[in-house]
Amino acid sequence: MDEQALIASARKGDVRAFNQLVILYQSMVYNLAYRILSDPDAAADATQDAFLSAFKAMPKFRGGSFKSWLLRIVTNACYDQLRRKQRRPTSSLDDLPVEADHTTVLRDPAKLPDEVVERHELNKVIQTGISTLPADQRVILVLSDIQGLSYKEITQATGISLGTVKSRLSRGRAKLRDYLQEHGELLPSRYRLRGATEMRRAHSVGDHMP
Amino acid sequence: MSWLRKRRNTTDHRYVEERLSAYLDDELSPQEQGAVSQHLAACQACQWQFDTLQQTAQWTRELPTIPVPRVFTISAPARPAPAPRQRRGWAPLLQGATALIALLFVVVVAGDIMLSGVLPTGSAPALAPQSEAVMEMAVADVAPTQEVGKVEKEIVLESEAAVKEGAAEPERATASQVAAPTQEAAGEPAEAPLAMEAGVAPALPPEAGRMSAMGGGSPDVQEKSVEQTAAPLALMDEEAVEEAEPAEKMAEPTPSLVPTILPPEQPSAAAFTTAVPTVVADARERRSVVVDDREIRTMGLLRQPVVIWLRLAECALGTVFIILGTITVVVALQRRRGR
Repeated sequence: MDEQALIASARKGDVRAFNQLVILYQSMVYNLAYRILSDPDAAADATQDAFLSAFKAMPKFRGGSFKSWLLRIVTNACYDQLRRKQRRPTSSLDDLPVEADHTTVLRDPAKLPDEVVERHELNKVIQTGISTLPADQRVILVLSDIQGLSYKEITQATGISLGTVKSRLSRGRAKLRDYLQEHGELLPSRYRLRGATEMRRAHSVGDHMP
Repeated sequence: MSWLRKRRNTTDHRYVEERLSAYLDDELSPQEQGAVSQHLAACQACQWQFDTLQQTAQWTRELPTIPVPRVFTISAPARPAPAPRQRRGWAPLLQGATALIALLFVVVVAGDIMLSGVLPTGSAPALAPQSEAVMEMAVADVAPTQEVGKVEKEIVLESEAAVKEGAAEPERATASQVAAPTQEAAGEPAEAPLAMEAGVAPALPPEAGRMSAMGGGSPDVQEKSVEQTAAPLALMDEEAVEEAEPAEKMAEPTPSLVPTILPPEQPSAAAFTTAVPTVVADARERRSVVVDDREIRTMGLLRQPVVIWLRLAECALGTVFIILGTITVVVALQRRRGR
């Protein structure tokens, strides 16, 4: 049964058809939630909430991109989780969960163990950097750079204007880059962004590099 | 003009910097894209910005996919199970019914107590079986008016024919005439002692009458009082006072208060003995006083059916309350265990 048929059945309240859609999209939904929330438990909760909300809202689905429609629900579920997290005592950035690096090994078994470890360190710093971004910028950055959505898809998934998407993504990326520069000592030498200090000094005085 | 060139360069940097992200994603208009690429080719700092931004985005895109910790399929539409609802529904209903029955029981008991007045003290309950019969006869004896006679008829019909005669001729009722039918009644074996006492009663002073009615009085007192029925009234009074002296010490302070204190369903001999001396003493006075006592007594007698019904209701409500209460407690215990 293709996706459109599943969607049609799910709109009529067919739980089995909807669960097949869940199987298709749960990885995307969970990863989006995990990258936004930086917490596996909160991500699981947001994912479950999102699918339950989606099933309830299925009759209201008027066609178009099911993925974008579902991502919007997930994004809202993530905002709900963030609000709950704000009410609770905040955890230290050091408490962020360590990613399961076996996925990297499975994806690229040819890589050397050292490289795997170093990449794992980099991924950890990137995820920490993402979690330091303001929520609005973080959501757009994750949708764009992790989920691989186009600007148009992001506008559909978030309901935000194209100009706002552009500016939020630009600021988010720049802040994440700055974070990686500032925490360069945490990164393996091959993943350090070099020459930042000199470049910044040149920018601040307005000198045009030859 | 070097400052103008410097200002333009700064503006270019900001313009390009703001568009580097979109330039990276090929999301700029052709015009913007051309301007940015032209600037990047000439500006090392902006090129560095672009390179590092591109590297950051690349690393972010290469973040691994996290495996889902579990399957997020939904089980079924969330509908509350009907069974717990039913349980919730009838347990409070049972408790409410029990409470209602308990309340009704309390109300009925309270009503019974209020109608009965203050409970009798001392030997009154022990007197009840005897005194009822005695009082019926005494009521017939002293009936002076037709109004009272009517009330008596109902009571007397149940008891004896001789008493009926006495009630049918109230106008001729004197102390001696009244004594006659009661003595006839005394002829019947079953009620002989009581009838004797009742027949004697009119001639007796209150305390002596009470003593005889109680059956606890001495034989001497009974004999003497039988003799006194034929004796002159004045003598009887004197003797009665003499006889009464020891009894007075035992009895309640004033005989006239006794009927109001005693419960209506348990009229003791003391109740009618208050009327007895007035019959003996003066017919006119007797009539008025007797009517008053009669009213009190008939009111008590009329209340009797109500009290009987109340008692029945008490029994029924009490039984229902015990059953319901037991069921409620059992159900509550089972629900607690279930949890």
